Amino acid sequence: MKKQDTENLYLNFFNHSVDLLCITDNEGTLIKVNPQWPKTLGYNLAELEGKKITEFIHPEDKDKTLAIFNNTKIGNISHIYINRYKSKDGLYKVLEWESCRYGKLWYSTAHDVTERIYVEQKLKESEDKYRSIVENSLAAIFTIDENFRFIYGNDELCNVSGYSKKELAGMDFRKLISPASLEIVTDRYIRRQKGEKIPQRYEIEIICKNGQKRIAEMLVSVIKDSGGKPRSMGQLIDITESKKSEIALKESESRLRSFIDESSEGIVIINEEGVIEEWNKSAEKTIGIGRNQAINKKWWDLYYFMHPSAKLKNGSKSILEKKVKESIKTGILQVPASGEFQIIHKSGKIRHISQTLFIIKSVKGNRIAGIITDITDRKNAEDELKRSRLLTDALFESIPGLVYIYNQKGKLIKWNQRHITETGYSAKELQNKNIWDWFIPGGADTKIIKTARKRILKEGLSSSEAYLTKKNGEKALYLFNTALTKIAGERYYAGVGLDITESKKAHEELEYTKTILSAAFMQTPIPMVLVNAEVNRIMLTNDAAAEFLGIKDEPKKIGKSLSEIKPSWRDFDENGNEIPLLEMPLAKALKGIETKGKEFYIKRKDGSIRWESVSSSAVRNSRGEIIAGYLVFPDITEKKEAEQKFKQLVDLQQTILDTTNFGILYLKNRKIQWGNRAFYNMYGYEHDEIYNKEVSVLYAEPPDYKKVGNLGYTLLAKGDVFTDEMKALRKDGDRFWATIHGKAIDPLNINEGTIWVIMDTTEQRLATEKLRESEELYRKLAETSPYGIFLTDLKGNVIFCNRQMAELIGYESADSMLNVNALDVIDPDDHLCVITEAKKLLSNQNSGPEYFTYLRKNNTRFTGEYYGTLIHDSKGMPYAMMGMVNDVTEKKKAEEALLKSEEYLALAQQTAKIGNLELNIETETGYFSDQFYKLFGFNKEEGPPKLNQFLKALHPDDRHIIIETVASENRYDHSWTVNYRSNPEHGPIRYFHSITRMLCNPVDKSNTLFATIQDITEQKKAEEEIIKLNLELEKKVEERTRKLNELNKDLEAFAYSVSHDLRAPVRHIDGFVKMMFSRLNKPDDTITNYFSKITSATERMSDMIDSLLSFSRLGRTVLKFTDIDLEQMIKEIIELFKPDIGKRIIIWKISSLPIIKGDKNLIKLVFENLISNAIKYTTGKNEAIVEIAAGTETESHYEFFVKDNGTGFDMNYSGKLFGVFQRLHDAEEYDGIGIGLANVKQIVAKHGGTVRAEGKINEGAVFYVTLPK
Amino acid sequence: MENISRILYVEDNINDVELTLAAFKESNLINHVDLVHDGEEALDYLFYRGKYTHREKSDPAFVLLDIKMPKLDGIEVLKIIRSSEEYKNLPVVMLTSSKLETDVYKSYETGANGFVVKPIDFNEFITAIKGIGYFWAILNTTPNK
Repeated sequence: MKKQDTENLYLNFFNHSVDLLCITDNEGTLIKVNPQWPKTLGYNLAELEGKKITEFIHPEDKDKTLAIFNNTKIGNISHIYINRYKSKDGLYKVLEWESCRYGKLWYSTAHDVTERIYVEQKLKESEDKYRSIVENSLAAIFTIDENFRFIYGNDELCNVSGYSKKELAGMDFRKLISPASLEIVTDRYIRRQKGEKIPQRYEIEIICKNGQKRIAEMLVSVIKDSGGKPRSMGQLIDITESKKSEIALKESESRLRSFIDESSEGIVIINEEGVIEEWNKSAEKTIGIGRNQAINKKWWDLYYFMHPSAKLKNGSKSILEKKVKESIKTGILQVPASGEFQIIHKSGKIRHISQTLFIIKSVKGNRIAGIITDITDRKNAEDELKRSRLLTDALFESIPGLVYIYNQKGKLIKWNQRHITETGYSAKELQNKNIWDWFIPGGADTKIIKTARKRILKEGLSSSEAYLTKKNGEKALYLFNTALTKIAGERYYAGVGLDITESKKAHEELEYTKTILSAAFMQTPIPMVLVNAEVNRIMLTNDAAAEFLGIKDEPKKIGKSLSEIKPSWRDFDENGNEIPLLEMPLAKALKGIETKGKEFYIKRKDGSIRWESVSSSAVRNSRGEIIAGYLVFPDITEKKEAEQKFKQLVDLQQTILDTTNFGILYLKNRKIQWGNRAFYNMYGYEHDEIYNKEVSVLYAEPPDYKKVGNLGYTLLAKGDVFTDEMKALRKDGDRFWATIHGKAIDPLNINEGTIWVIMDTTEQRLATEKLRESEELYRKLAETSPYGIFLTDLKGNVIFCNRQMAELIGYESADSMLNVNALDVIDPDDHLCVITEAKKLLSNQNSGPEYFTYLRKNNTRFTGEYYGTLIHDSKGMPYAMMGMVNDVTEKKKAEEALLKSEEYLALAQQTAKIGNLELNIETETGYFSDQFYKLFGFNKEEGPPKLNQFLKALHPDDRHIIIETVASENRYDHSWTVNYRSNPEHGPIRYFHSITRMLCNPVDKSNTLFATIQDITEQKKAEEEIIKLNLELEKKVEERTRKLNELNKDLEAFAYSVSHDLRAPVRHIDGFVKMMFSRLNKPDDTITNYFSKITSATERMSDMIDSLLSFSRLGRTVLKFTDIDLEQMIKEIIELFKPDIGKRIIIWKISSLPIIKGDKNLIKLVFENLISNAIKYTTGKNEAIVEIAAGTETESHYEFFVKDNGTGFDMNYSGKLFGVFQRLHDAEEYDGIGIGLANVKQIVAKHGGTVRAEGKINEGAVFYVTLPK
Repeated sequence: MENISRILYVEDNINDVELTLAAFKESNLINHVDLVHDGEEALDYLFYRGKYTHREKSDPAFVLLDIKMPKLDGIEVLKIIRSSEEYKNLPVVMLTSSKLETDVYKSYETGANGFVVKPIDFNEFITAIKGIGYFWAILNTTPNK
């Protein structure tokens, strides 16, 4: 063949090959591909040639492919290999390759095996799947041939049969079937082979390799193998277990059935429809509804068995239905899972029922099962228990201590409220308390409790005291009484704890006191014995007692009776009589008879005598019963001996002492012990009366007693003698002066006593006193004498002079007159006379009165009346001259004046027509003044008229007046004022006023009539005139009053009119203006201003009307007079104004004011007005001063004033002040309407007083008010 | 409305009438106020005489009676009201400008149930009328005839 032809042939072959052909170089670059490439992979040639072949290979296959290329040697052909190439549509084609290398080029063929590989893969997957199904099937799967031989059996068949796969292979299938099933299996097998249609599934019994029989469900089908031979394929499912459980279930169901039937609890089962499926016998019994009645009923229809109260709780039937259905649907109970309620049993009785519901999730769906129990008995028991618990609790709480129950572990499981109040722990805290928490771990108390617990376990109960720690850390002592109880086999400690801290403390204190006391008792140096009253035995005695009784060395005395130890000594009373046992103070004490300080003595065994001061008393318990007798017997032997010694001493000295005039007194502790006769005489006491009495009875003045006690005894204690003078008091109350001298018997021990010598110094004292008194008297006389008194020596030099004398002569003091010669102060003209007088004196004649002219120091003179006396000394020798001088200048003048005045008197009598007379009634003689003669027209020349004549001169009707006066029994008692007239026969009647007095001469018993007689004719006439005038006046007054009443009525009418008629228009103005204003739309400021002006004007008008009315009413008020404490009233008024004053400072000066008479309300109004004004008009003052005081008082009137330092006023207008509506000030400045002072004036005038005011602008005002007393 | 009793107001002064009615209005009292102008007319009203012969039968809740009036004055009217069987218990409140004690005394002596002095301040007057209205028309009860 030609090369060309060959090439063409190859080219054709190359171009038409169904395989993919390609030439690549060593780098894998596609140099040439045949057309199959684009066909298979979908690229055009240009997209392939020149590209690297690796670009198309699946990334997972790249390495594999490259490895083949690298491992193929030149000239060799590679293995066939498969890789995946990416086609243009993105899917991979599976290509099977063969490549060979020639030189630098590779020649490769590939064909598309994608389909084949895909099918293979699918098949494999399927086969794998089935195989694994068969292999892993839970059913035993097998195939057998027509001769019953096993062809295949899976693992499960091995499991079920117990044969291995090897054994099974070729084994007769029938060997596996039990004889019981063999027939049916064989029969069916043959019939199936024949193509009969028989049930595929049936139950057979198989025999396992180990001979065990199992039940299996077999499913058989006939298949034809690839050779067309029929094969049987079967499945065996071992149903032994499920069969068993089925049987068991059946059994269990029947068991359950009987269980349900026989259950003591009522059982109800409800299906999803609410229909009752189960209702056992107990349910029948419990509820009282029969099974037949219940089954297939809706549960809620049976609901009527419930007690109404339960129904109420569960709601209506429809709600229950809804809830039940919901519960079953959701599997969650919508009704309470358990509950107790009451039903009315068929029998009609109320029973308590407990019901428990739960959901059963069964194959058939959800069910509600209910268990119903009759708990009536339990309920009753519970109630009983509850009651008994309540009782227990009450009991617990009523116990006044901690009541507790601890369990075996020591935990507090029951306690009462007291735990909380006493320990301070809360109930919650107590819940966790353990018995040991109460005590300090390891402390004494813990040990006590531990011991107690042991005892409880042994003896059943114990009582112990321990300190319990409270919450606040305090400790309290408790007495715990605890007992062991067993409840249900458990041990419990129950008991009561009582806080005995206080009682313990008290007890301990008592114990302590007892100890202290008995120690004191035992150690005291004063002998004591305490005897038990009941057994009459010595309870307690001390060493001092034994010592005293001389039985110190004898054995123990306590517990013995008195009589047992008595023989050791003998008791005697003061007088030496032995005291029988029963009369002894201790024995008496036990009978309740006290002894105090009795002095007895004992004779001790050794014969020595001891004195005792015995006191005894009974010891009583709180009920007052005698429980012991108590004897104290201090040893007084020493004292007794001393006393006796002293007595002996006294006896010895008695005689001597009694003869003295001095009082001698022995005191002990300032108590009188003994005195001598002179002492008793001096004070008037007997010894027994004042023995042992306080010496103070001898003192007249308590301060003296004190002084001696203090100062005196201080000195005595020093061993000094104390001397004093004092006023002493006798028993009969007389006082006398006593000088006392005291001395202590033993200064170091003043209690030993003091001795006093007392002298009555009254006489001596009196003499001195008298002298002193007389001296004083004279001195006083001289000092107070109206006379100038002076003494001169015999030469005339002044040796004494009183103040008056010095004054008379013009010396400044009495002393300055000393040594002045008497002649120097007397007018030289009188010297001769003076000397004559002096001589007269020296010859023991008194002189005077003599009138000398004395010279004063300032050279003026005066006439002195002089009396002189010669003074002798105590020996009777004249040593001084005394002169008494009186300035009689005035007297002389007066004497002269008197003479004149007598003349005047006569003249006066004449003028006043007063005559006077002195008439001796018996002798009818006497003196008649000139005027007397004139008055009655007697002639003086005819001598004094006789009484008879005098009477005749009188009016016949008036003569008896004189006669009666003269004859009156009590005529001497007083002056008689009588009026009588002259005898009308003697001319015009004259009237006389006479004052008469009768005096009786004590010597001759003659009666003298003294009388002054005044002619009162003129007065009489005037009086008559007055009476006449008065009568006229009364008439006038009546007339006036009538007119005034009319006026008053008019005024009343006027006031009425004012109050009614004037008020109305004012009110209308106010009303309409206000209504008008309220209707104004947005009134501007001017209108508002006008409006407020109108309103305030109406207000003011209204005020004025009201005050005018009250003013007029005031005028008609009738005064009610009472006593008014003005000062009190003023204070009240000021108090009233306090709020108006506010913070202003007003200094109130209120002097003491009297109690006046007046109408209280009105007077108050007066001062309210005045004070209010004072407050008002001092508004501007920084420091206002208001003074309210009494002014000038007259006989008839008081005057008061209210003074302020305020604005004041112009005196020119003072008259206007008190007028109605008169004001001196701007209303702008001081508000008010000007009625106040008008009221004041009116009220004061009504009281009969006056008002006035004084003032000065800016300096204040004074308002004066006078009111009658 | 028929059940709400009326108030009889006796007043001669037209200014007072106007103010008092304004005050009643202000006090929001729903009772109707029947106004008569003198004592005679008041008695005619009460005893169904003269122009009141055919007045609907009803007793007023109370009578507000001015004292000072021409013809019959308030006290005389009161006297007649009290002496009648029908009205011996009828509440009568004297309303007057006067503060005169004699008037107060006479009014109570004659049997007035109240005595009110018309305050000059209009606002106080309203308060007074309010008080009277509330007490006598609303709070007060009188014995049935």
